[in-house]
Amino acid sequence: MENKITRRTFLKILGGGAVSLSGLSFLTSRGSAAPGNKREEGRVSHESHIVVAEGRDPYAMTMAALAGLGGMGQFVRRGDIVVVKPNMAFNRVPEQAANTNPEVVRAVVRSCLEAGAKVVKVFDKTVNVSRMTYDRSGIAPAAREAGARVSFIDERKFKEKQIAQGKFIKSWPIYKEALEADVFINVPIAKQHSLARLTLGMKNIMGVLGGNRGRLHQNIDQNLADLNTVIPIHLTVMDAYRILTANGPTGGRLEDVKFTGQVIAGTDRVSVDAYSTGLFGLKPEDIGYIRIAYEKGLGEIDLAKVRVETVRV
Amino acid sequence: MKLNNTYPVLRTIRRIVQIGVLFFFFFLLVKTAYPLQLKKWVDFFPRLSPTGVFLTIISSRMAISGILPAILLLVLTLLLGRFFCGWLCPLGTTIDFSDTLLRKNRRERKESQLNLRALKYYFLLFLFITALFGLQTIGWVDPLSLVTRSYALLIYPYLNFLGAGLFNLLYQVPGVNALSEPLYSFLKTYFFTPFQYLYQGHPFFLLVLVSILIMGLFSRRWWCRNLCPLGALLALVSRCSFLKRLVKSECLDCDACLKACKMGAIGEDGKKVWRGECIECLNCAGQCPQAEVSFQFFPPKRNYRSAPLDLSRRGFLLGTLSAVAAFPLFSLNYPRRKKYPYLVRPPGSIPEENFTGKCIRCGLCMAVCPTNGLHPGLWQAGGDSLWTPILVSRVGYCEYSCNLCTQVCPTDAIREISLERKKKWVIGTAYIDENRCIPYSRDKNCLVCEEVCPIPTKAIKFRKDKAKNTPGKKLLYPYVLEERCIGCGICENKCPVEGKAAIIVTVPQLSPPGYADRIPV
Repeated sequence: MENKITRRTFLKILGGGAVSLSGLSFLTSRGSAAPGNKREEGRVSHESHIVVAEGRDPYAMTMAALAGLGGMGQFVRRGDIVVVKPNMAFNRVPEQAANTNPEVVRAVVRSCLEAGAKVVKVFDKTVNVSRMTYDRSGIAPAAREAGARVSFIDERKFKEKQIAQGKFIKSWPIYKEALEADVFINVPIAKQHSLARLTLGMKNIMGVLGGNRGRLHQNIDQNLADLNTVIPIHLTVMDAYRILTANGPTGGRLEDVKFTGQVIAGTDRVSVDAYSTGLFGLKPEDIGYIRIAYEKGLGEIDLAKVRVETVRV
Repeated sequence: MKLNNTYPVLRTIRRIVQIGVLFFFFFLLVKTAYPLQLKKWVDFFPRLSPTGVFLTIISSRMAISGILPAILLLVLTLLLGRFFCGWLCPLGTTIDFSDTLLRKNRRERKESQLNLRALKYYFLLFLFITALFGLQTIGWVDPLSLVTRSYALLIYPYLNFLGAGLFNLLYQVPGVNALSEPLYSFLKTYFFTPFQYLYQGHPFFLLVLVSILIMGLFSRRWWCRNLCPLGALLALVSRCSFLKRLVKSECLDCDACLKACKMGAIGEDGKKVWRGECIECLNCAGQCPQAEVSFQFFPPKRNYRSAPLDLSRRGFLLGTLSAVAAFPLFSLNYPRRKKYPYLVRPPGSIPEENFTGKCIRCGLCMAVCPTNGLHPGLWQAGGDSLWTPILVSRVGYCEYSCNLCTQVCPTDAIREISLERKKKWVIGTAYIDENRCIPYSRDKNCLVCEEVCPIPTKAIKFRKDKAKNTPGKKLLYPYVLEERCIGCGICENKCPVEGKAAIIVTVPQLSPPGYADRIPV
């Protein structure tokens, strides 16, 4: 008799279940609505903080910069799938400063694995012949030695992604592995670029884009900022060990390469790029995509509001 | 009885050798790619052909380095006879396979009804005389060049296509792809090309290969018997070889050997052999029920007989006259090559005047090109440049830090040049088509060509100027510095304009002699 479920209890259970389910789905939908960022909360402090490591050993500098941010454990948890995205576009050697310094990539990969990452993936959509570029840049061998899984771009893995905030482009094919990673670490190099003026972190995401990338050039600043709204970047490690000051982004002449001896790390993609403009004697506002990204709320452009910490190695 | 055991075993060994050599040949083609670890070996097969090598020397009037394999083959043929055709030739083995497939449909004719054997000698004569005129004809038909081209530019890309199709299908199936994808990535690393390569006019190669194989409907080894120019040369040489087929007097005239012979080389009585036709496959000795057939060095003269070579004066005349007629025909050159502007040759190529005579059209440079940019030329630049390499930049550009194509040429039509020299080697010059170029024609920025230009000081520059039709807008307009451009074509390749690029690489029509050796500023 006591165990009999009355109509009232049944309705109560039904109603309660419906409310909690819809509440749950509302919560999860809110979670995924944040731009592709599964674990934004607790990882990004609201204050922009970048660490600049100076020295002559790019590996040690990278490690120091990461330590300054509280260690890779702040970003990578045990069992995470991590994507490390260097700039590996051109068939050039490291001394020509057209690609990210392999030692910087090595340090990032190693610290991810030390923090417990399940797998660290390294790839880039190259401009030149991929196999040659992976080798000559020195990045693929260095990343492999450090324990990363280095792969070539697989054309089947591009997924059309809607860009809600897009002004000129409403959607674009983006590499699935970049979007689906638990942690995406951008490891660009700072270089001169004729059209965008500088290639920095937010331009480096060109390497996870499919389609006719050349078309993006027609409104490059706006398009880059728009694309950055849909690509999660949990951490940017800027290689400014050597920078390319002219004839970029391909370079080739050692006269155009300047030794600046810095590695800049931070979670705020805009402030890392903003800081890096100073290496070229430019202001953050000079670079169109940095300005637009700031206006879109992707990060802080005003370096006075950014805590810049410098460590010497 | 002892012999009866030896020859079937030798026959099996011969089959294993054939398959092994075919695999080795294909393995070398797969390895004809970056990073080219087997650089010394990849051009081995085209180099092995005496007809290919010597007729190229004649047609180009230039030396070829490393003719030792070809000479070695001639010497071995002198000693052993036409064993190359029966044991080693990759085309011969391919024909054996297709002949086996066609055996049910074959209508073999009586030897006397259709004797075309002499045709190959006239054909060789034709090729020799055209070579004397300076026309490279051997490259089109030399079996080792032909088989290299067929496997590298046709069969290998097709296999890739089938493999990719299969694995892409499995990729869609959940569960199965967990198994198929690791295998696919393994194959992509060690066997498949990094992306789907395809070559201009590949159905033409298919047509040639199928025409050769389909002749198996009439007889086995039809090509080898009747047309193969290398076969003809080796046949002539093997006439004096020391290894001879011997039939004992106890022969029962059972005709088992006649049926076993792939080449139709055995005369009707079962004892005679047509000189130069035997390829020493050992089928006859293996099939003889009485073990009466054997192969011996220096047999006593009375014990073997060979049928004479019946060449006619008429045939010789035909070969000669058709060669004389062919020369102007192939040189008829409607675009007049000197004025054909898209004939962009690989870096390291010898001057155009000599190039068509020297290139053996084996396709190795095209196979090794990592961008799939080198393609066999069609009739665009005249008959004599058919299947010679042309850079089609819109499909694939010439990678700045790459000299792979200069390392694989078997006839030195593309000389090996260092990477430093290659980076300065001018193969063409880029021109901007302002009617198509985005800043010029659509009032938008672009500058992709400038971005990707690999010249360290940039051969493509730009100026800032007012937009033509939008008041108040400033744009960056690219332009080419001709004296810096090497014509690598990456600008044409990456140009985002749909269809024909807005920047195109051509060979300037008024280029002075030695244009290719011009060192840019």
